[in-house]
Amino acid sequence: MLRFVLNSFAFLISLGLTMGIYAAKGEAESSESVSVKMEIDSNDLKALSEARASQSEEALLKVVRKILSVDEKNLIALNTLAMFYYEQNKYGLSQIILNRALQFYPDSPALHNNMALVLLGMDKQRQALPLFHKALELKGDHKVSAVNLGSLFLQYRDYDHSLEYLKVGYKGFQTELKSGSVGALEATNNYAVALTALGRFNEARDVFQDLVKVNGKNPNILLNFAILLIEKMKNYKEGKKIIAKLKFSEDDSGIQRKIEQLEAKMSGVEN
Amino acid sequence: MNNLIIFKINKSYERCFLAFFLLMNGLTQSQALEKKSGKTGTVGELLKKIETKSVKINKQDNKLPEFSKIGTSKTLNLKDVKPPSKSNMYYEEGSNEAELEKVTDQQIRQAYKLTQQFKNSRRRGELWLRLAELYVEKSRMIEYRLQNEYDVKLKKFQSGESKLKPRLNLQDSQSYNQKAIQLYEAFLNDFPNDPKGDQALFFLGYNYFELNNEAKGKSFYELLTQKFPNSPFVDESRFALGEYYFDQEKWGDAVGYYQKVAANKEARLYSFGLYKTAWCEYKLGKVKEGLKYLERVIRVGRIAKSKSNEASGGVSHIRLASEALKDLVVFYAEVGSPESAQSYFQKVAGEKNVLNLTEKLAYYYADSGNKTGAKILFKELVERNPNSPKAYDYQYQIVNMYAATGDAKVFKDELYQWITLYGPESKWAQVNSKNKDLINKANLLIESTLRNYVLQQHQTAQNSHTEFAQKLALAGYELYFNTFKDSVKLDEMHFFFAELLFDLQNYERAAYHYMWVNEHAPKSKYNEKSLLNAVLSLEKKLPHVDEIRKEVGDTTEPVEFDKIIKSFEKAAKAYLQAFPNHENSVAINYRLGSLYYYYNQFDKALVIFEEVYTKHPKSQFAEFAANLTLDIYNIRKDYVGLEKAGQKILVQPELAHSGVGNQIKNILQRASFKKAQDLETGKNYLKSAEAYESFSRSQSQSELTETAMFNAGVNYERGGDLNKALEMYVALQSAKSSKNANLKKNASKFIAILYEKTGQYAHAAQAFENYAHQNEKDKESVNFYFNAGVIYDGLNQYQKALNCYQRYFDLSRNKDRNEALFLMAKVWEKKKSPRQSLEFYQKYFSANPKNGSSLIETALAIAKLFEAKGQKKLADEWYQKTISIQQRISKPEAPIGVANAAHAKFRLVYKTFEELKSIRIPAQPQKQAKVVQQKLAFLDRLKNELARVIKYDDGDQIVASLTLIGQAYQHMAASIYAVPLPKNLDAEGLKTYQKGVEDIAKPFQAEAIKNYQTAIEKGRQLEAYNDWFRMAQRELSVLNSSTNYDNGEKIFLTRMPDWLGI
Repeated sequence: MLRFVLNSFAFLISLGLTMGIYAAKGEAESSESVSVKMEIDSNDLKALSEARASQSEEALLKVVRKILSVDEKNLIALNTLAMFYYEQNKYGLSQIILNRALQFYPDSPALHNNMALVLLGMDKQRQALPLFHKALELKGDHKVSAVNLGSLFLQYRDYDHSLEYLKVGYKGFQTELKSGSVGALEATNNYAVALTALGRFNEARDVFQDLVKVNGKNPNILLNFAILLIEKMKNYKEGKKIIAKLKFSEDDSGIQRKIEQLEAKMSGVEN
Repeated sequence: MNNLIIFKINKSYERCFLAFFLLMNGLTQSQALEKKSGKTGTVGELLKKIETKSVKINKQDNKLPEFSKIGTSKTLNLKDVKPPSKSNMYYEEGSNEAELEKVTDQQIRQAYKLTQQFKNSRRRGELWLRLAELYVEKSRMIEYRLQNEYDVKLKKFQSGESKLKPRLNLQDSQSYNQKAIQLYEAFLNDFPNDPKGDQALFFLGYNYFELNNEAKGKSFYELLTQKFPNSPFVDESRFALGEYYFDQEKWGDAVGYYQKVAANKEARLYSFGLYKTAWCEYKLGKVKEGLKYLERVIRVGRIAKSKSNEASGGVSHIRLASEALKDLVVFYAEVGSPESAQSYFQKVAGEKNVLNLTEKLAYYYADSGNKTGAKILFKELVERNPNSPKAYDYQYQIVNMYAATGDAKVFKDELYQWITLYGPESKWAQVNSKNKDLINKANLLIESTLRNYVLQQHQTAQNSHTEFAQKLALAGYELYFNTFKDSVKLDEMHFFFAELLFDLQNYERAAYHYMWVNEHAPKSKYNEKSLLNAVLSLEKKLPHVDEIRKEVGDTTEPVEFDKIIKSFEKAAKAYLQAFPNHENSVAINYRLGSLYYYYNQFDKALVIFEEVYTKHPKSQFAEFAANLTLDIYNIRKDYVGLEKAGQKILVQPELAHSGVGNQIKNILQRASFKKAQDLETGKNYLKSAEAYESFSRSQSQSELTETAMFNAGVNYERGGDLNKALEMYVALQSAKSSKNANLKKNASKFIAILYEKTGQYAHAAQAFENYAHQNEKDKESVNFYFNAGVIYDGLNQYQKALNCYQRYFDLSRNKDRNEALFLMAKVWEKKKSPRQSLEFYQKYFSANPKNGSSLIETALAIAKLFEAKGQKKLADEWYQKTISIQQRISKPEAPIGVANAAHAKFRLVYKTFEELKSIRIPAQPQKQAKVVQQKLAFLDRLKNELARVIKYDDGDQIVASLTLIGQAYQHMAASIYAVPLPKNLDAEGLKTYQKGVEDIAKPFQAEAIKNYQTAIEKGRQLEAYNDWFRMAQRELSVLNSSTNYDNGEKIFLTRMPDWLGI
């Protein structure tokens, strides 16, 4: 019989509990549980990547169907599907799928991280934070959840609290930083900002310098670097260079305002 | 001169012989006469020199006779006796006879010429006689030749070689007789008193007889006897008359003449006369007398031989004696006793002839039916020389005699004796072993006799069916086989023996002998029948199907054949190999195949059955073979093989369109289905599913098709291929048939579930909804509305979600159906429809749901909605309800709704803050204190109330509460600072006043800072990051510039999913 469970957390129907026992006419026998396959074919893997990259639901569903048809508990397929819907702001469905996956893989840091993101999307920050922690509890160097958590703390200017997580993220993303990954850039930037706020200027500077090497055009990174150099390290010389670059390339009013403040500060000192 | 021509004693030849004899005698007479007259060089001399058989012709000068003219003949016209101008040769050129004929013709021409020349001579008569003799000789030659030709043609006619009945036409020869008669008559006419008148008379008699004018011939013979009683021709003529009457079978008349001849011992034909007398007596029934005459003939011959005196110019006494010896057996057989035969023969014929005559007599007895006599004599002969080459034949004669008589006992005894004494292993055979022809002949004869006897016994046994006869026949066969191990007829005998055994129901033994034919004489004409009958014999001994089943039991393993069946197998195979296309072959082949089948030798059975139904599809066995083929595969559970075989069978149109064809189609269907079922039973789910699927595709018209589809789906699921399972269920759903509604219903249900399992949530929602819609009366299906609602909700398809939740709520009888109201309220919230949201929250609340957490949340949501609507009173009511409900239903050990209750409490408490803020400190100093007191009272109250909020221990509300307290203090400080300065103060006073204000305000400020700091700390500690946290930071940084949390850096709010490598 089809069983469904009402989850008080989010009224989730765990449809994944359907361990079907279907009566075949004539020779009815109960079925055994379907075997779980963890592996995924490399072609399917590739197809999933391409479908995700193309943002084509049809393409993604095709691959996911194929994978789940032989392995309805396939972690990668379920996770990819869930996060696809997450990116489409279909948080409810994403939550359903992640819950289904969590039943099979309760110790997956990725799932906890992703579920936290979904809750954040549903403005349920309070419920999200424990999940980030859970992810890190399961895997101490889970860089993604570390970065997410760290940035969340950073958002609330809880620099102390955020630094340990941002550091994990920074270390975890160092390789990707070299390839210019956006996520790595952001994580590294946040780390540098935390270092700056906590008075570890030299470290912050080093990090900013690495950042600028990888991406010398990101205005937010440049601005943050400038703030460090000018406001914290009083290194106007370097600061000016950054400012000059920013002024030239950036139109954002907020950034421009801050630039003016920095310039005023420099000129005030100079004066 | 005494050249004898050997010929058979034959009526037609007798006259020729006699004539020639007489001719020779005549010639001899001439010679005698010549001697008497003392004259030489006469015509007669000349003529005497002509040899009858000589090829060399010594022509001498013709001498003319002396004659005197006496005038020409008055009776003879020479032209009438002229030889033909062109004489026909009756003998083949180059042969001795042709040479003789040539010479004769030449002589005739010469003689005729002479007669012409001396037609007036006194001696012309001699010439006429000579010419007449030559004509007689010529006539004889021609007659001989014509007779021979006639005999040959007659033989051909009698044998059927010729259809034309020959006729003996002696006209050619008789023309010469005519001429001779004319010459003789002319002679008598012209020379009536000539001493050669007897010759003329005799030859006239002879010639007239030749011309079949017996009366005239007889008259001339009688005339001769009268006129020339002492003539040597008288005996001749008497003998001739005797011959005449003998030919007429007037034995009485003939015997007189012969006796007269026999009375003259000196007569040339004396011995012949005796001989013929003997035969006349025999014919007259006076065998004894006849025998005596024969004895005399023999004695005469013996005497003649002893004197080395062969009858010159006539029948040899010795020859006649040897003829008489031969005839002796015939005569003796009539009057003598077998016991005395040998002694008689010894006495009459001499020792050297005893064996021969005894043998002849024995055979004669046998031929004439005198078994006893024959037996006695044959036994004596055997006894004389048991190892004689003829001994086997003697015994055979005895056997043969009794074979025909019906005296079975005697026959058997004699036969047995014959076989044992003269068979291949006998002493007689050893003694005569060098005479291979004899041995072969003997063996052949013995073999054929025994064989025929045995076969006769066999027939008797078959006809009578008596045990006695059957035993005899059996014994006979055994004797035959023991005696003849190499006979060419062994095949036949084995075959017939087998036939007998078959009739006696001794099938096994019969089969052995039938098979002997095949194994030892495969080219025998009995081979085919033998093989067939061997099969039939052994078939009789085969166990019944029930017996086989009992013996084999339930096993499906091959069981070995027993001896009988092995024999049958061997025979059947031999038959089939030899006669693969015979009309019986199919039946035999099938029988063999069925045996293989019953004994689980399935591979062999299959080969045979396939042969039967492919090569003989029209035969009745084809259907049986087809059925059993399928059964074998079924037993083996080899459904792949069964299907293949079934297809192969159905290729045969005769089978496909027959009753069995339909059955096969049905079986194939069911087998195919069964195959799938068996795989399922064996938990080979994927294979089972594939098999079901294959069945449904190939048997789209079958009543099992939809079931197969369904089962395919189920087993694909079990096998872990949900995609395929889905496919099958969808296909089933699409099937047009109205049968199997239940299966389709289930399929619809499973489709929904499988969509969900395979991540196709949109389809799943639709499928759930459809199923629920089609089965609203089904208690279970109502839940599918709920499932659909949840998924639609997740897909942000709110209206569909609402519809489904509503249907679920309307139809469900579940206790938790009210949860649908809650969910609907949530959906309305997402849709930003506060009115509908409020409505459903209220409905839910009114339904008094069991879910405490939801209930508390609902109460809070209602409060918020009222608050958003500006209905503060209602909002406060609901905040209060939230708090009350939470208080009521939450347990310390299992707290629920804490955050909601804390939130509700805070909102209620916030009013106090607002009230605090609303109190303005007036400018009038006198009123200020009171107002300040009021404010302080509110502050205290706020603090106490917020303390109760903090007691909930909810992080967010703790931070909020602390921040609010901070705000309250900050407000107090700000309010104090905001009091307008008194107007009448001087600088000093102002300064003092300001210091006094500061002294009052600063503690509040400090409290504010402290609370803000605490709020931030708590926020960090409890990770309760919210707007109140930010506010605390912000307000703190305003009050304490050293605590600047925001330097303006850009922070990336990362929301990084973990794609697990994708």
